[in-house]
Parts: sequence; structure tokens; C-alpha cells
Amino acid sequence: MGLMRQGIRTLRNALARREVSATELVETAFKEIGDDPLGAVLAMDREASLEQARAAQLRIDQGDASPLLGVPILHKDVFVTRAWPTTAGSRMLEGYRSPFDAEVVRRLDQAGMVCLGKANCDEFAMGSANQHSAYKPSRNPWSPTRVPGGSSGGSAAAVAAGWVVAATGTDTGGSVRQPASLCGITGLKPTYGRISRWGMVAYASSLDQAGPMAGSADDCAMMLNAMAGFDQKDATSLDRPEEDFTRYFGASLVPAQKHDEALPLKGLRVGRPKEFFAEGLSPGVAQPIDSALKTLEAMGAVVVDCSLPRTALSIPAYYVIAPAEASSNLARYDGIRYGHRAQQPRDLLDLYERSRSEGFGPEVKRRILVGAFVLSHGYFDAYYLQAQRVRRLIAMDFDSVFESCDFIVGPVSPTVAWPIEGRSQMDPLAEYLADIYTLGASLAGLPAMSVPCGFQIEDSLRLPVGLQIIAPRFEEARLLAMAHAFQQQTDWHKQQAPAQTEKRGVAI
Amino acid sequence: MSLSQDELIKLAKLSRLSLSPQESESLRESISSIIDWVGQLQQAPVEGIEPMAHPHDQALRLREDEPVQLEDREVLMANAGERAAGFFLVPKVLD
Repeated sequence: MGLMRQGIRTLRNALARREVSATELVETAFKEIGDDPLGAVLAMDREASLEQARAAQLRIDQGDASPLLGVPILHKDVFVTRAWPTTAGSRMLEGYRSPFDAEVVRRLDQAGMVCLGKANCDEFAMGSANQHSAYKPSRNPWSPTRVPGGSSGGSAAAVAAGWVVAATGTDTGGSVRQPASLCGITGLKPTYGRISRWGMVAYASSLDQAGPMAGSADDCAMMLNAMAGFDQKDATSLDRPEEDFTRYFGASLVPAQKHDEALPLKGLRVGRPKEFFAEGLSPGVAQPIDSALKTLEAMGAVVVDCSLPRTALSIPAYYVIAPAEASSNLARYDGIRYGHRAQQPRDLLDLYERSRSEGFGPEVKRRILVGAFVLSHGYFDAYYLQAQRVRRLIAMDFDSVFESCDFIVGPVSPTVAWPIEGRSQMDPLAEYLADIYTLGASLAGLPAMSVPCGFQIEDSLRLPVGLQIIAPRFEEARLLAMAHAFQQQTDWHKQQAPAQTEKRGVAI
Repeated sequence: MSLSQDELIKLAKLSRLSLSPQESESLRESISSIIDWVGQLQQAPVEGIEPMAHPHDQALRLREDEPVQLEDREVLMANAGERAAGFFLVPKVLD
């Protein structure tokens, strides 16, 4: 118990010293997950996991020192896997078996990570609470009455519960950062194109980006080392030189400046956008964020006021562009080659319409229809092209702040994890509005992280708050080093959610 | 703007979705309010701004059009609902 919470390096050292074996880690994880009281996992297969663990153990026994070897992981169920079914949280893909592994899965497999199964998520990654999974809702380990965030909610919940040391997630409009924030773990959305999208079930292709979710910036950096890299199979993959994303840890983040142990962030300018602290930010979130900014100042950074004037417009821009791309991407589900197929169709059109209507859930249908509207004749220019123009303005706002700042900081989410009950019939717009602080970096394609920075006490529950750090494109290494430095000064990321010992009878 | 029932039916048809009456009504309401709300984009001054389709303004990379050997046919077709003689089956299209 507890080994999964100590991070990848500690776990890897324990494996190297033979204190634990890769197969024992799998058995422990299966025992801890039990009957999945958090609804965090969709598919598990003990024999498939043990087979990977035995292969990893063999490499460890032969003296292979690969940093991720034998370390357990969950993959969000939008990454296709040969050994496990892939559903993307949708009835549409119930029972689907991919003939190939996603590039992310292949890379982490090659690095020797042991897959424990597939993590629950919102259907086709559309949602901010993990209540739109067609199979089961996910719950927050800090309180099972609260949402874990979404759409990578199962990944975040499983890591926060200490069931697994790390998980993959995907972030289209905040789906790595927001659940990481709400569950008190560390999550990174890299620069768009940094990690291959090959084998990621597509939602909105100009925004979708995979990212690591784990207990610390150090763990995320080590995972990114394995996940990132050019891939010919993804037409938007970036051809960048290979780099070690831990290389600035314990080093100065300012070029040609000597590292100062006492002031590790000396010389850094950190922008505080006033729009991220305006009306709508709950005071219980604002307080830990303000404290975090004071910590950054105490570490030598200069926090300066800045402005991202189009922040409010990022929500309508995103909710035009993402549904438009979704309506196009999801056209592939026709009931013929794979996916749900309606029984006894009258004709081809009936087969299409009924297969899709039976297979997709309400939020997916809503976004497909909104997408069809904004792309349709007569509305295309006024909605879709207009949203793309606003997208450029939003990206330009970030560029202009980065002319005088190294990073941008603020909250990830305006509130802590909200109650599952009472909000299930929530107006979809209210859920969309909660994405206000994450959408900008998504639209601009920038790397951004969520780093635990405190707690809000609400209804006598202790609920985590995440600090968002946004960096210029391709600056993941400095971003991770900044987060790592913060985690050397604070212990918010080490706080543990209560143990998940029994199934809780909470109705929703 | 408020989406009429006819407009919703048209969108559903374009999207190859058939909606039940209850589904229709709740979707019509929520989609109307979403479209109404994203309409605020039209107030944004965007003169001279080019639409941004890709976050790094890069064109999609092309590759050589060379045949590659994929998984065998059986594996690729294994997820199909109905198939016969190595083909995907669809309802009769031509009379």
C-alpha cells in the first residue's frame, strides 16, 4: 500500500532493488482497484497485464535500466489498444477491438510500462465532469459525492486514489488539466502536435493532444520523454529535435544565468492575466492561487499583471470549432465497418440513422448537431470562419503577453469539484462555462499544466485546487522545470486522497 | 436565434441521426441556447484577421503515396457487424 503514491523514480528504484516485482505491482493494483468504487476503469484483463509485467520483469532482471520499465499505467479509453477493448466511453464502440495500438500506447509499451487497463472518460472525450460516459459515471477520490472532472476523469481519479502511478489523458479544451486540478494531481497538455494522435479516437483534430497525468511534474516529464516525438503516421505531428524534458530541473530557467538554490525562479517574469481573476472565480479557489503566486515570488519570480482580453470569447470560439470538427470526425461511425450496427435496417439510410442514434449519447448528438449547424450553408462564414478568426486573435493575445513574460499563471477551474447530485440535469451551457481558463491555451496550441496548489474546504470536504501554468509553444521543458521547482517548495502534490476501501452507495 | 423543429430535423438528417420526439424537444431547446450564445462571436471585431485552422499555421504534411502492407484482411474486418466472402455487407442499394 502506498507505493503507487511515491512516484515513478521511487517505484523504479524499488523494482531495481528487487523490493517488489512488476507482477506484484499488477496484483497489488488489481486488489486496490477491487470492484472500482470510483468508476474509474472500463476494461481490465489480469492476464494481459501480467504478461506485460512478466516481460518487463525479464528486462529488469537482465539489468535494463529504462526509467519507466515495470511501472504500471492506465490508458484513457480513447487510445486504441490491441489487448484491451476500446470504447471511448461510448456504446457506439462497445466491444470494439482495435487491430493496432495507438502510437502513445506503443511508445509507452516499448518503454516497458505495464498497462493495467483502460480508464473511464466522457463519451468521445466530450465533457468536463466524466458524467457523460455511456458505461458509468466516475467519482472523485477526495469525495465520491463529487465529480472528478473530465473528460480524462477516470485517469485522474485512479492516479489520485493511488491505484496507479500514472495515466494517459487527452486534452481538447482542458480534459487533462481540469480533472488533474479537481483530483489534486499533476497533468500536462503539451504543445499541439508534440505527441502523435495516431490511434487516438478523434474528437476535434485541430485541438486534440495527448498528455501525461501523474503525481508530480517529475513523473510527467519522464512520461513525456517516452510519449513525445515525430510520427509520420500523424499528419499534424511536429518534427522537432528529440529532447530530455527534465533537463532544466535544478538548473536556471533563464539563459546564461547561474542557478540560485535559494531563488530557483530568479529572473522569471510570470504573467497574471486579470481576466482569470475576474468575476466567476470562486473565492475558495482564488485564495490558494494567490498563495501560490506568493510562493513563486518568494522563489524569485516576478509576478506581473497582464491581460488576455479575448478570454471570454474563447468559450464560444471553442464551442463552434470543436463541435464542427466533431461532426466531421464522427461521420465515420456508419454501422458498417466497425461500431454499433442497428438490427434489421429497412435500407442503407435507415442503417446509418439508427446505428448512429442508438450508438451515440445525448451530449455527442448535441455536439454533432451544433457542428452541422455551424458548418451548414448560410451559417458557415458567420459562425465557423468567425470562430477561426477569433481563434487567431486569442492566439495573438498569448503571443503578445509572452513578449514580456516567460509564463502565464492562474486557476485551471473556476470552482473545485462540484457535486454529482443536483448537477446531473445541468444545462450544457453551465458545464461549458466552467472551461473558461483552459480553452485559450487549447485554441492557441500552447503547452499548459495543472499543478496542485492547495485545498478549499466546502461542506466539510477537503477539495483540491490546481494552479495552471501556460508556456510559449515548445517550452515544455521549462514549464515542467518551473512546476518541479514549485513542487520542491510545496507538498500539495504529496497530499493523499482518503483510501478507497469499499464501494460507496451514492446514488446519482 | 431559436431553432425551429423543421431546422432541427434538417440538421438531424444532415447528421444521419433520427431523433425521438422527446429527444428532439430537449435538443432543440439546448441547441437553440448554444447557437444563440455562440452568436456573440459575431460582435468581435475581426477585420483583416485570417481564419486560423491549425494552431501553428502549418499545412498538413503529405507523404508519398506508396502502398504498405497492413494487418491481414480478417483482422481489419473483424469489427464489422455483417460481412461475407471478405466484404462488408450493407442493405441492398440497387433494385
